[in-house]
Amino acid sequence: MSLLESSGFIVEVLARGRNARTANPAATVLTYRASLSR
Amino acid sequence: MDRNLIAGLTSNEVRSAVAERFGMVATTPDARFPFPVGRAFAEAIGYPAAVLDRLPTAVVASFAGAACLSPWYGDWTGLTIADLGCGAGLDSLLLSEVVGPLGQVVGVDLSTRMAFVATENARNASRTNTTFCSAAVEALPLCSASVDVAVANGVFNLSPEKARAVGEVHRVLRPGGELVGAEIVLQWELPADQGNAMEDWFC
Repeated sequence: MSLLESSGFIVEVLARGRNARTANPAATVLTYRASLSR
Repeated sequence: MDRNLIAGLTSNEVRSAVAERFGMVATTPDARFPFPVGRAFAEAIGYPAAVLDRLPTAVVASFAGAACLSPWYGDWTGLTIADLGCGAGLDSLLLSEVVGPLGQVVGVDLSTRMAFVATENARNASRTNTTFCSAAVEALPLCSASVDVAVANGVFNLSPEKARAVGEVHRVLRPGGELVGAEIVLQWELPADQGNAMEDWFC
């Protein structure tokens, strides 16, 4: 997310949590909206 | 040469490995992969069965995104949407309904086989406002400021050049545009002896 923010996006985290996509206990899935200013 | 990414591979070698693996997902989705693929997974992360029933079977069978994005779709009627890392086209085909006949969806996938399958799937679903092409997210074949919304369902986590990929999304989005996505992120640093194999790149 910091990469998006440093690139000029305004980031809103929509959801965060583990799901079946990854079995890695160190990983989670982050859902987000990143907007550009007009 | 950036041979420090993973398993001593360069960025291009990582991209080739990713394209090869997802090409296999496109053509043999029932094979074993180091990540979940298909309908049961799509339902498990939240895509409603009734929604999946509307799509060609092959679209759902090759689904390998990171999360269910459809609850976060906006009022995007008539807009141009780029579905980055579109896979077989699950989100693309759902988005084609969202934008309607006056909008368009462009699906982009690193795997040429996946883009081919997605094209076939869109044809089978009669989605004339949806096209697909094969390209890396770090070098999108789209004009600058040509896209209203970008969707990325598990894409940047597979990119070996994440800053370049984000820069490309920024370039193709119009001012005021938005990116809606889901990514696998590490919550803490892995021990030095873990996460160094190419297979780990997918997990």
